[in-house]
Amino acid sequence: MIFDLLKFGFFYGILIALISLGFGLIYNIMKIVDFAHTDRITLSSYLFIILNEYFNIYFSITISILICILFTILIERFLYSPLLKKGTTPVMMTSFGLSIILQSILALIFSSALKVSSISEDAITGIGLYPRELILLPILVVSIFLLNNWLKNYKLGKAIRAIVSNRERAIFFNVPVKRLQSSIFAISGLFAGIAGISIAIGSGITPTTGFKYMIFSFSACLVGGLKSLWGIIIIGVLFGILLVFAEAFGSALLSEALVLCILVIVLLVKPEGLFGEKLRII
Amino acid sequence: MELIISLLTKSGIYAIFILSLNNIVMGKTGYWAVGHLALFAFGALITGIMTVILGISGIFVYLAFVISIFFSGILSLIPAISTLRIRGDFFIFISITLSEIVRVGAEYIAGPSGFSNISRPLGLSSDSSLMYFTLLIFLIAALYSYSMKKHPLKNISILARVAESSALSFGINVYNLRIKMFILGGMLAGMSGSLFAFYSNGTDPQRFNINEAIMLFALAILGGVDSIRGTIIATILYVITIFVLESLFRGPFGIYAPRLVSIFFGILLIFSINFMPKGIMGKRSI
Repeated sequence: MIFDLLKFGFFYGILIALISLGFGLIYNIMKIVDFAHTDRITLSSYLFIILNEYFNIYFSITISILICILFTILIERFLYSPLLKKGTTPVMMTSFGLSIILQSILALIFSSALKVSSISEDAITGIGLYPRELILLPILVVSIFLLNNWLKNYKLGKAIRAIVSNRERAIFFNVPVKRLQSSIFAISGLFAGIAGISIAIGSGITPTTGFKYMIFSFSACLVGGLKSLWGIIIIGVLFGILLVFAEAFGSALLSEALVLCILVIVLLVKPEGLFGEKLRII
Repeated sequence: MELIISLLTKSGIYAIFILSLNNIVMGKTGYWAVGHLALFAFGALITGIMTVILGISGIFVYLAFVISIFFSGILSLIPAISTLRIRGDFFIFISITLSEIVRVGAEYIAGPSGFSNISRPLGLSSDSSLMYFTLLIFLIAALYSYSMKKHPLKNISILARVAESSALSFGINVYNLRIKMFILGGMLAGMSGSLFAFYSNGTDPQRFNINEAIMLFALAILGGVDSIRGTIIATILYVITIFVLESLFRGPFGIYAPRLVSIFFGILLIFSINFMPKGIMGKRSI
């Protein structure tokens, strides 16, 4: 029983880590928490479910991820970047407003009923896990290693790290800030698309599903330390295990309350997060 | 007539809340208390616990009213103390988190549809008396806020907000001042929440979620920070918009009204934060 819960929790945590990684990437490049991140997940889920009614699964996965990436880039180009000169807080509130608008539009179109995809997948015998859960682990591992390698060894990756550490100086040294910022948003959109498809196949989607994942991944980001990608992933996986245990022995509300209480305590005691470096926030 | 009384009561309740947000907390301390609705929800929740679970009725409901104000003041200590260590975006995070915790707690204690049949205090059982009571409280709060603005010592709070280290060097106890303002704002918000529970005879959890908090924050900014007239304008806008949209979409289309309200206020939030940081009546930008 405990082992099973650990197993499910681990794979649930992988999903949360994947979403949190998108959060963390956006925070690092732009110093904002993008509250609309999980609504892009909802968007890609709905796209996948609708496309899958008419086309085959691979085509619909590709198209919905591509649209999700495109949407992310468009938001960054036409909404966040022009507003960034007013400061990070207005951009964050803008993203919250965008999240409210997106949720409401989705609710207007699809109503607030649960929408499930028509794909029925069988659990792999012997392990008790679904293929959609198993496939997330290699995706996360491969993408984190590729990302690390890219950021460490390649010129553009180094340029991104330059933007992260000092934006103005990067502009001064003619780093193509706008293009690199868009590329990071695109990577984040890719993660969001993958997570969205996994959620759509797994549990189905409502317009406010994204909000639940926003709480979890937002907490994982802040607890893990926004500046440390590894910290975000570790805390995301741990949160997944914690959530599964809390839901098994308590209720879904208990799991949310636990995560939020951990977040408040960490914010009060160690605002830079457990793995983050010292932030200058005061 | 009943409609006017209901709208006026609702305006009074939200006016007290927005006054506490944009005049007391944001106006005097300069912190973006996005999740200030937490204290509103907490006041309503405590009132619900006292009257429904503990079964208080009659004259003792005033006691529940006072106790819920008191507990809201205590809860506002959490954001107040957090300002000792964090500011800026991180304060917004803690504010939002607090609002979510209160929502989850309310759902846990009161169930998914909230409390119902909250009894009103003795003497306020009719709608019109509740309206007079609410408007009276708003008047007192507005007068207090106005007198704070005209007070000769107002420069202390301005200095503490604008230049904290400079105020510290003058020997002003900045943290004490800030915590006082947070507690005052929290108590006012808790009062409005408690009045809301009396007004609607229940605690509808839809009124406490994070989207609502953000919308009311947008309204507080739209009205203008540190402005009483702006508060009244923003509140009337809020109440009238919801009333118009809900009366336009009735019956089978009734589900569209809250979505359209959300879309309207979401656009208003983006617009007012980015293009009208001073608000309608405000003298300074946030």
